[in-house]
Amino acid sequence: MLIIEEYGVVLRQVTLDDIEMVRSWRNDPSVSKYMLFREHISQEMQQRWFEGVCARGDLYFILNFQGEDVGLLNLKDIDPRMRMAEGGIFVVPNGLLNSHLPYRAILCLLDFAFDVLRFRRVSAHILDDNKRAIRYNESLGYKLTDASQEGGGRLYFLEKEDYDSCSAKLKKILRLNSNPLERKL
Amino acid sequence: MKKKDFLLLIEDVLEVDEGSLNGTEALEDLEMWDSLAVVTFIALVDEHLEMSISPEKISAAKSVSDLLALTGDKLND
Repeated sequence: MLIIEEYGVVLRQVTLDDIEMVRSWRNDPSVSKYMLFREHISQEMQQRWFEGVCARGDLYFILNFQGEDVGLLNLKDIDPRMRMAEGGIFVVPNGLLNSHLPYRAILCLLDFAFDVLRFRRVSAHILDDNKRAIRYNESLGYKLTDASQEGGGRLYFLEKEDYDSCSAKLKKILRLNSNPLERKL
Repeated sequence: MKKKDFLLLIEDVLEVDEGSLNGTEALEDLEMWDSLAVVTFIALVDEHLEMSISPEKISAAKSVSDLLALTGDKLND
């Protein structure tokens, strides 16, 4: 199991033991309303989803902050040849959503994607009416593409150069020190 | 810095109309009070008031007045 620890958060690769917790989060209307797939997810559907995650080699992580599991992040549809993947994050609605935590978590994930996995690009699908996610992703350096997604989503791309520039500013503001030599994996 | 000028900066962060905030607003009622607003508020305070505020203190704020209170005596009427 892959564990990444940086910026005060821990990203722990999802295991079979986690998928019911993830399902309960994912079925919460406050989370599902921002997803392309918004139907209720059954136990069987969740099991099949996890089997697909394992088969494809998608990386899904539980976000743990101060000992509590509070969200999910992912790098999925990994294309090793093109060195790219689709990124994603949601934080459970418990007061931490509108805080510094989503930045600590995504910086941890994207540092891993660009610096350790050596990705060139990370994509994101965002619904047009999810203004907060659009602001959040643009602050990380994501740029809107012309491609549209069935269901109202839009495709954004994050290039490494843009991420390096934006993440440096964010880390300075949040006083986060990145030291790859000490990064715990 | 004058309090009303600082409120203008906060209004810009929150994408609300100029002059619409008076300090009594609950943050949870403001659509654009989000993680980016938290980070931007930290940067604003650092740049304009030359002080640092921890993200944890900002996350604990419930209202615009709470945010202003975090600036201590750096703002005047």
